[in-house]
Amino acid sequence: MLIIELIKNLFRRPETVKYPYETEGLNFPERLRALHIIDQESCIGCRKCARACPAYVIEMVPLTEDELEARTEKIKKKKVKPVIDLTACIFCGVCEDVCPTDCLNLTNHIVLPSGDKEELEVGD
Amino acid sequence: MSKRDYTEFNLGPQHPALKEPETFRVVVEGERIVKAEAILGHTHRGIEKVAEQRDYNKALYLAERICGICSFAHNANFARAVEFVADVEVPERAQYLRVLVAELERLHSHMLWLGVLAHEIGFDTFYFLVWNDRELVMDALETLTGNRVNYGMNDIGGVRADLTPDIKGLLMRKLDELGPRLEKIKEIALKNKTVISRTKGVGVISNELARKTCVTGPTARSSGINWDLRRDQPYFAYGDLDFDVKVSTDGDVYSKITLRIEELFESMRIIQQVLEHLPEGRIKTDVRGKLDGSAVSRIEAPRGENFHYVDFRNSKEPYRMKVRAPTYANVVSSVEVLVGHYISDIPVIVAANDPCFSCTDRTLVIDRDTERYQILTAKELRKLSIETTKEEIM
Repeated sequence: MLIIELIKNLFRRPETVKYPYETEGLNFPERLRALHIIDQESCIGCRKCARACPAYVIEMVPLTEDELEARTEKIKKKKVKPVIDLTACIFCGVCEDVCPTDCLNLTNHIVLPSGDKEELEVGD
Repeated sequence: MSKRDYTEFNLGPQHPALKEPETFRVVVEGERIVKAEAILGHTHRGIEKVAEQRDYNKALYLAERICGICSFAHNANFARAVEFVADVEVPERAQYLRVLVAELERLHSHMLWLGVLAHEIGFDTFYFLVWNDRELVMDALETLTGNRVNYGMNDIGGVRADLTPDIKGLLMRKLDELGPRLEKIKEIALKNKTVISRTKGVGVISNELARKTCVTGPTARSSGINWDLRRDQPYFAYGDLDFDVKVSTDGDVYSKITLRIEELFESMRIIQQVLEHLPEGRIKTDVRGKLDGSAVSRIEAPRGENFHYVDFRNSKEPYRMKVRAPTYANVVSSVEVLVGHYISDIPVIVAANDPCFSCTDRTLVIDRDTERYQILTAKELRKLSIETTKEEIM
């Protein structure tokens, strides 16, 4: 039985995909919870995501002078913005669930390695 | 025989045959084991204590991280315990979806175990075959929940993600593909000479020993104890589903292989039923505010009975959370059966119980003044708990 399997394997395509050199055959489901994107223009700075985060990785950072000036009518009361530290994030997606304006989303983009810690902060 | 004929050595905490850090102190006479003792505690992370500082919504994700393999079992069990305290009714659709993920998890856990056992008996071809097929289940879980492990599927009062027709179709396709592959795995596992010679008659846990050491799950069922929480104390939607509980009486490692393979087919049957009879409706009931009261929840994790206790005292943070993972009950039996076997059988016997030590290690008694730690006997622990309870009441 096993010998038949072994002979079949000789002519089979390898199951391993040589990621990241090849991406063919990889499938990233739509629901996959990976890199966050934050649309700061529609974020109202309500802090709900920071309060709900189970890993305490969302920090509400005060807006800079330029950012304060650039606020649109929709977000004129916004004083803080969320910044996510991906190094400690557990990718549970709770922040996405609680966001009232739907400005914080988890994408299925899984390529996150970086040599620079600042690159792993989303929202800045 | 003089004392010099005995040799004592430590297997672990870092040993190629053991997947997680744990120590087995073994006394041998030549190649044969005379005495064995398990020393746990190397992966203690203090999860119960940390949970006391987080509200139940956040502690849910902490409970999920007690174990990487049966993460859903811990997560769902914690959610169920909190739901008991909050006295909410979970929608029927959510109950069915919980069964779906729990059974997919059982599939992947049993296949992972089979692969690890094949590796321990030195049959790596089989190991890769099983793990390759396991990827089908992992893909199904990833598509349904959004992650391969730590699914984040549960919420207090229901589930977070629904089953769409697209995902249902994909799950059906994956299961159709998995069925014949499992048949093939079964044939190899039950007929191969290597598997039989390394596992048949090895590590026999008799019915008497199983009862004495209070083993749970497939380990207990392979020793003739006909007990499965899914059937005997139905939770989630198991009461509505039709499935058999497989029992074997041999108690050796080979019977554990046959039993777990049978369980794989039963899990497939349950998943088919859930996909066909999934009721319509909501998937979540909201739970808000402070809670008061305590509750115990027990569910049948892939490895055995999983126990969660939570106590809320008019707060959102649990005053106390207690977890007992199945390995904690099963590891005692594997230590007892090691006696009389050869050193080379240690990995096989230990792996046969599907141990998960990161689940298990949560208790360590440290004297604050002398900074010494000690392992308490059952009598001492009982005495200590009576004293502490008295102090609290006074």
